[in-house]
Amino acid sequence: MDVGISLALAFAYGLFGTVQSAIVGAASRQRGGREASLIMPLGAAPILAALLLLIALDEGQTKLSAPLDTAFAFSGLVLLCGAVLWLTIRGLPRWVGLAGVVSIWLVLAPRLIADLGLALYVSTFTLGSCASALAFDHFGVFGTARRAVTAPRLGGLALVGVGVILVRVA
Amino acid sequence: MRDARAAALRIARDLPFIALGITYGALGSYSVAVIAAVGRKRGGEEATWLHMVTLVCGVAVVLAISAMRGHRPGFPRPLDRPAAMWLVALVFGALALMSVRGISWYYLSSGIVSVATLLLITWLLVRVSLVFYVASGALGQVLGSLVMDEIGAFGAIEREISLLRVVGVLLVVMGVVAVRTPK
Repeated sequence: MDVGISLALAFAYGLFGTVQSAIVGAASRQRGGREASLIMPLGAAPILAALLLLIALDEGQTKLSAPLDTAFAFSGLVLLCGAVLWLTIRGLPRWVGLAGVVSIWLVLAPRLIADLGLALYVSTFTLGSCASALAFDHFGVFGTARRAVTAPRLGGLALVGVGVILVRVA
Repeated sequence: MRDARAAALRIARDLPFIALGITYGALGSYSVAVIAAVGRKRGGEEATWLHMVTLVCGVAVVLAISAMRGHRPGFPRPLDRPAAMWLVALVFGALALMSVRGISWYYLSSGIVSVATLLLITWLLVRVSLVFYVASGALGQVLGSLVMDEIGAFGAIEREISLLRVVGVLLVVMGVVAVRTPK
């Protein structure tokens, strides 16, 4: 993959990672921190099972060992993971179930890290998450406390950007 | 003189927590490196699946133990009982073991380490200021990623640590602290 595209994808993962943190935070305020920590991967599991189901249907099998290499196994797992997720988020707003959706971006991580290296991937991801954290704080999205964008905070974002450039060019 | 001594004592008192914060950040990089390694062997979807089912199993174990100590999970019935959490842990633990078959068992560690970091965050956040937490976590994460690049962890391409890269990650940390902390 082109390095520019990989950088853009890592940055976007950081941007949307803050959405996930905000949703997990909202779940945490209503259910508790550990409970929210369970909802997050459970939110990702049915979507991952669906992706693996599509892979099994398209390529004949997944790259996992038997019995998890068949479409049949993953059609059952979509239902199982979906049912457990539903049991955990009953009574909460439905969008809490999206807590794990952003984690699906992790499927790209092996490719992005191969292109960028771990340090550049982590730095670029961090730049994205800082940028969206500033915006989220400014508008108080998902019930977070509102904090205006200030010059020192924008300066901090610029520092992260310069740091990413140094990690990239060095 | 007295102020300087008090400041030194405060730093000495906080050092173990700062070290734990750096460890927490470095463990985050470790998890991503392991997911990448599994991805190279099996594919990104399979790697993320293994990570998530292991994470569900680990958090469910923590909730089950907590429930047995009297802190019921904050889920609606039937998931508010220890037995239900043990069942979730059992089912997802079995899925994790089936998913790791054919590759080394230590690839389960990305999910297990993530559970440990979740517990560490909860423990740390009530003991250190937000600035310490953010700074030490970010420092651990970016320095950990530099070191893993240097050694080519888990079969990744090796990338040398240079002075400029170190300066770059330190700028990232300083920027994160400025963005993420109130003052």
